[in-house]
Amino acid sequence: MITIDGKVVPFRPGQTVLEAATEAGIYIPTLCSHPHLPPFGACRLCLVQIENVRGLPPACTTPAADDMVVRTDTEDIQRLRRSILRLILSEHPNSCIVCGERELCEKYNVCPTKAGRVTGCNLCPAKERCELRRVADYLKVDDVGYLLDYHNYPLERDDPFFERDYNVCILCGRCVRVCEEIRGVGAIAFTKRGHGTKVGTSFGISHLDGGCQFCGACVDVCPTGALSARATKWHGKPEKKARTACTLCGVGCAIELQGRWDRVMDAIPHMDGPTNQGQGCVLGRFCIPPLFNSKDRLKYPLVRKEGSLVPVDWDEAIAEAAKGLKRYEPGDVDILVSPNVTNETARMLHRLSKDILGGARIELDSQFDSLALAASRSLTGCAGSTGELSAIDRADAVLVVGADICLTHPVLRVRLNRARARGAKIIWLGPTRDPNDRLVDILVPEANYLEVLAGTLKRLASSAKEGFDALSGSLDGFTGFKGAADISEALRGKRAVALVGRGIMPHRPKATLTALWDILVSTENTSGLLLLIEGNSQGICDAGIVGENDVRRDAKALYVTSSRAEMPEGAEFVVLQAPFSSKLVERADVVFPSLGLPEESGTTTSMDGHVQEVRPVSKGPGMALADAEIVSRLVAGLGGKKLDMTTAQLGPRPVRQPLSRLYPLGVLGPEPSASPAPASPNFYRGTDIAEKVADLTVYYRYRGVIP
Amino acid sequence: MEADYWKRGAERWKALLESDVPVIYVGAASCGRAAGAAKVEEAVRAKLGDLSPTARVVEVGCIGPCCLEPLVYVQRPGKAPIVYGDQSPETVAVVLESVLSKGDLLMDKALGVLSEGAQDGIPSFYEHPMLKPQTRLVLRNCGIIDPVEIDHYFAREGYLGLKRALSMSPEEVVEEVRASGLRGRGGAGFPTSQKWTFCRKAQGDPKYLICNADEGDPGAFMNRSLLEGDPHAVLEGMLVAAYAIGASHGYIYIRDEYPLAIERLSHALQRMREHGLLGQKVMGTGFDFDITIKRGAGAFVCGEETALMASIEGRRGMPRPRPPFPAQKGLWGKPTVINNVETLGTLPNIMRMGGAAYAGRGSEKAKGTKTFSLVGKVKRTGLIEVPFGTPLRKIIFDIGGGILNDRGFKAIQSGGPSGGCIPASMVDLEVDYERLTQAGSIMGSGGLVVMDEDTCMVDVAHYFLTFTQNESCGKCSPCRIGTRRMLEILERIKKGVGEEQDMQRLTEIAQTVKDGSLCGLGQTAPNPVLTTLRYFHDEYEEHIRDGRCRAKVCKDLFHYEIDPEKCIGCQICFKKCPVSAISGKPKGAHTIDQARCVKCGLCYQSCPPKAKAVKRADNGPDEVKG
Amino acid sequence: MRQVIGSGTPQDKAPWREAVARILSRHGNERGELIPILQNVQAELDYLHREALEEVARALRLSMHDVYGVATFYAQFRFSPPGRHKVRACLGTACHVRGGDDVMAALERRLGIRHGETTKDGEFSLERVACMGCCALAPVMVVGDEVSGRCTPSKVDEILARYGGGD
Repeated sequence: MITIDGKVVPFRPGQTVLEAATEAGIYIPTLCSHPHLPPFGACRLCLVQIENVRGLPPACTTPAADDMVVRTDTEDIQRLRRSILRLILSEHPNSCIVCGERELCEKYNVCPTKAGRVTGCNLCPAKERCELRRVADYLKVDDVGYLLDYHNYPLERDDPFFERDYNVCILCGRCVRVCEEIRGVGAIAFTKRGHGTKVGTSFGISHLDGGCQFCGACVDVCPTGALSARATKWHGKPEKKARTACTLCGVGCAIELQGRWDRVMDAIPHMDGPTNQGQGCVLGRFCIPPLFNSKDRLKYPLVRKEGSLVPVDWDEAIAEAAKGLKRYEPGDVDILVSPNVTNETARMLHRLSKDILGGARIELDSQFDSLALAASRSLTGCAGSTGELSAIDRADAVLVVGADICLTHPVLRVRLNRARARGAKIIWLGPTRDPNDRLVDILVPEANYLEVLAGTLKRLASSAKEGFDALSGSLDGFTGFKGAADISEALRGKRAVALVGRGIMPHRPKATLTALWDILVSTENTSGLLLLIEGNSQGICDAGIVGENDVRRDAKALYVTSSRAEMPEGAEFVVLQAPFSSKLVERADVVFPSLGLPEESGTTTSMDGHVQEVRPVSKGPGMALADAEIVSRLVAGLGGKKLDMTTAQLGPRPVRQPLSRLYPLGVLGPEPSASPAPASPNFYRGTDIAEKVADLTVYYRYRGVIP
Repeated sequence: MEADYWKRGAERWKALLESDVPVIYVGAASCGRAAGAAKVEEAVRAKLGDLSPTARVVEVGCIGPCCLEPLVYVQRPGKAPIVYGDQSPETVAVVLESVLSKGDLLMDKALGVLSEGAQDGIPSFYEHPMLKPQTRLVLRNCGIIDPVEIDHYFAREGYLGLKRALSMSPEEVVEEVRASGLRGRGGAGFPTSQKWTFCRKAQGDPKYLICNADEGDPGAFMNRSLLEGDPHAVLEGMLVAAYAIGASHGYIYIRDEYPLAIERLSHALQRMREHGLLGQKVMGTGFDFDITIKRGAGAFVCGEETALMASIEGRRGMPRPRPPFPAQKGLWGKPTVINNVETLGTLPNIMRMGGAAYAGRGSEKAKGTKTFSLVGKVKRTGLIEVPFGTPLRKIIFDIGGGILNDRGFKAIQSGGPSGGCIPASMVDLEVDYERLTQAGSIMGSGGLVVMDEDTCMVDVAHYFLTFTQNESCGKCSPCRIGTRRMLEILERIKKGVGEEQDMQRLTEIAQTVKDGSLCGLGQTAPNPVLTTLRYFHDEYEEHIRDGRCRAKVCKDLFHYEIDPEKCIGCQICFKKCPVSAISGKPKGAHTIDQARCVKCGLCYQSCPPKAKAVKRADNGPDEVKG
Repeated sequence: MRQVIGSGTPQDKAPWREAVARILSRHGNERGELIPILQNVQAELDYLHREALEEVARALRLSMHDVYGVATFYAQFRFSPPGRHKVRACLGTACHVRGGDDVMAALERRLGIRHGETTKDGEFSLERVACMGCCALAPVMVVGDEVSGRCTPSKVDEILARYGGGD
């Protein structure tokens, strides 16, 4: 127990005085400390008085100890803090903090005023979240006493997604620390020293050149307006917030959506998401508002009349779709399920295909995800990864196979960085577009990876394994296993994790997965994680949709909730249900406008099996409805009993079976012809995100991801 | 075989002292070189080629009186060396010629002989007024032995302290050091044995010992001299310390501005390896220890322990808060002791003579001796060593010979940028850690800068703050911003546009920086300002109220003018003036165009002494604010 | 250093690259070697340029910004080519009270540059140093490796003249 301001409070070993105080509800002002970051001790505002300790130690770096007696608010301390804060404010535009008219002004000028430069007053985008203001209020500082020493640094606005105005930077170092210590990227650093210290890049190059991954972690920890998200910086205070699970990739990060004017305004990683632990990526952090506020949203139900689509009301659209679908035999109808719909919608679509349409084919619209899920089910009896992402935190070796994580699952870098800092070996087979791939201990470029993988697995296999034979059998010009010895040594008998990504698609994916699972993942302490590309493939698979049968090329009627796969050419009647307008609209006979991520309710399942709630923060555009509601109305239109969400509740996930080699290899069937992965890595409901988000286009072009 | 080291050393040393050919010693430390020792040595060799081709030339370190450099000692067969100062290639040729071939000892130029007593009518050099009041323990070999000869060091009882330490248990060594009362010589004066004990007891393996040779205080060069003149003393100290704390590896973090010291250290490490004094099984015992030299890269703050460690780890030299203390979690998270060069250089003496005997010198709270670099406006500048408790007066007036050009003594600055200015009125202060701290200054590493009445105390405060402001790492806000704000105020005052409240403002910011800063640099940075405000308040007031700088240092507050009565029209200033601000005809009175003058002072310096026509004059009230 | 198996990258044989590679192979790839590596790279290349820093960062598996941040922290490192003669004026305390500022001012005037700059012909660059440890001979200036003590503005002219500069 520790005594803080006369209050006896408990603490856990390893906690600092600041942490103990914060948990006990005692406020100690601070600007440089952050719950996600190791203590730094730079701002000097959290100085406290501790009995029998010389001077005034900072609460953020002093470990709490039994029988410690701490005072946080004596007059001496507050005077010193005020004096330090005044010094900080002498180099930070401060009229918004110390102006005598502040209270009145804020009553009438609610939103900050757009301005290129922050010079104080109402011109700062961080007005609503500025931590300096909070500290100034606490310390009751209402005069600065110095003329403003304005650094006059140029504004840095040449990079996508966020802008930098280091004239308001107070050098707390949170951005530098989060980028280096948490993300392992180090796209920014302290440069120069003393009064000339500035956060910046090597030789002042742009963030695009400097290897920034635009995850936005720096923006989110910045206590001032120095760093701000370009698209949303002037939106002011959100009216509404909701915790939801991002479905722009398979990780399922918990994010906080912020809404205003019935639109999604911003999206910020949630502090305690099970898969992302407070971190995010360029997609979830910056792409949600521009994507879902895009002008290409579908707003009204459309029905094709005399060759052209015309807006109609919902009843007419549903009736038209039901009428059309009823014309076909069940065997002639295919349902193509988007990997971004909720678990509930997936369940209902499954019911629709089985019970209402009497056995229409239904398939997940995601090439890699369906293949990987189906293959893993045939290997383990349970579709999906054999462990959770947290397995990376315990691994001694991480084997990344065919996964360009920097593009497809950027947030996983955080765990890889932590693993490497712990001393785990990171082995990377296949493509990487990470411009700053400091994480990797052994890198095997794409051209060589298949043979090295085969070699590694052969070394690891104690006896001949079917999986290995299947893999190595496919190697033309297979010459040797250079480097395989080092890799197999790093993996043998270790706690290991294999991360398998979409990059295996062109190279006999089923054989690769089988061999990996059979030889490596089957060993004790090893997990195999499938890096599912899409938001809710796992959930849709769990709803029973994956791997039942393939979509027929000759289906006559199609009900599509996604639009990425190539549509069977022969379809006579097409019902499209999507949030975005796309080329497919031209082939549709009926179009249902559906809601998107920030408008949805329900649950989704992360690629490692976490079922999370999806909550809305805004309304959809026009007459758009939730997918589940549309399906439900369609079922009714087809004469079935109206389904509701409660009847769509998920059953329990199947329990994973321990790996065994009881399966016949024949299950794998023939290899699909090598099909290159699409250039653009990220889709939502079949829509290329980069197409809708201009800054993402800039970023991907710069990295050479898209032409 | 080991015992042979000392025997062999003694023989070689004796052979040098009793050489039957002349031996010429040249003081070739950095200070000697800056004074031209290299050219002098060249001249010596050239001259010896003619006079005495078999004669030997030996480079030695700095014996202390840098004001007399370059120093050359001439040793005739069977005689003690005679010291000659202020040599140039020309004069040294004359000296050699006279002493070696003509038998004329040039009594008036000889500074003394390097022996206990007089010789041939020349007094002992140790009786020289600069040397006589000193007690040379740490510096006992500097300027005497050839620093690249480990045998010389052996001959002077080198490594006997280590030998004794290794025959004791580490705890006994710590106890011996505790008995000596040794306190850190790098600044705060923390008891060395206590620091060691923390580290000894700390969990973690390996443990590290770091020798802090990042002597950054401008105006201080004690460590440089010691490392250049007697590197083995420090290295022996490192071995003793490492043995006591159980360290297996050591680093010497040394300024890159000290290339000669680095060279001497590298050379010494090589010799030690050859003699089994480094590496596995030091002196045949079970003690393993090795040393790596790390060159600093130009950051004053790296003298701070945690910043120094960050620098060795390849990071920005930004200090971190303690706890954890370096003794618990230091270099790479392992228990680490960081000792100053002089602290380590003292250890061989303590181990050799015993802790109690060592403690016999010094003051009540500070035992032993301390080296100082005595510089500034004093007649005899150089490196000195005195017992703690020696009054400033003795240092300035006896050792230093008083103020240069017999101007008035104004203040003495100790402790570098972290220290303060002690006024002339406190000249009887007895120097030790506590007394200096009470006076508002600190001991620091031992730089003493003497200031005379031509020194402006506002300018001194401004100078130090410019320095700390430049050298602040920028991490913590009070230091980074506070020093800047103070500097701005001082700039205002120096320009004559200060305000009445500025002194109050300065005091407030200074207190904030002192109490709020993360590391020692920030916590002590305000000292020069606070002490000058305390002792020289009137000078600040003069600057602010009257726009006057009495020392004529602040350039905005005075101007040069030519007294037409005294000007002899020699035209020297006219020719020297870099901006053609001076006009006048030969033999006629000259005048300075104030609008053009950049106040470089060349006219003032070049005006012939017989005329002394160029004067510095206060600006009138109108000129001040302009 | 990271191990790369398979397809090697094409080797650029620029002399500076070889020099950097030599230094890197001598020092190994622990972070603790960063500053010694940078010191040696500067000794070979005269200054640190972007490509060299990137090369060092890659070898040590550090972010190049981090490496730049370290390099810019220390006064020793330069990021543009220095003059053929590096002139340094000491502005230590002893030099200051004995007129170091006047020496610096004379140097700036004579060379026509400010400290931190290089003359247009690339002959001289001027830097300030905190202390050379030759305080007893203050004020001190250094050209290349030659240290001169007890300097005055007039002596500055003489010294520079020896290196063909000053007018």
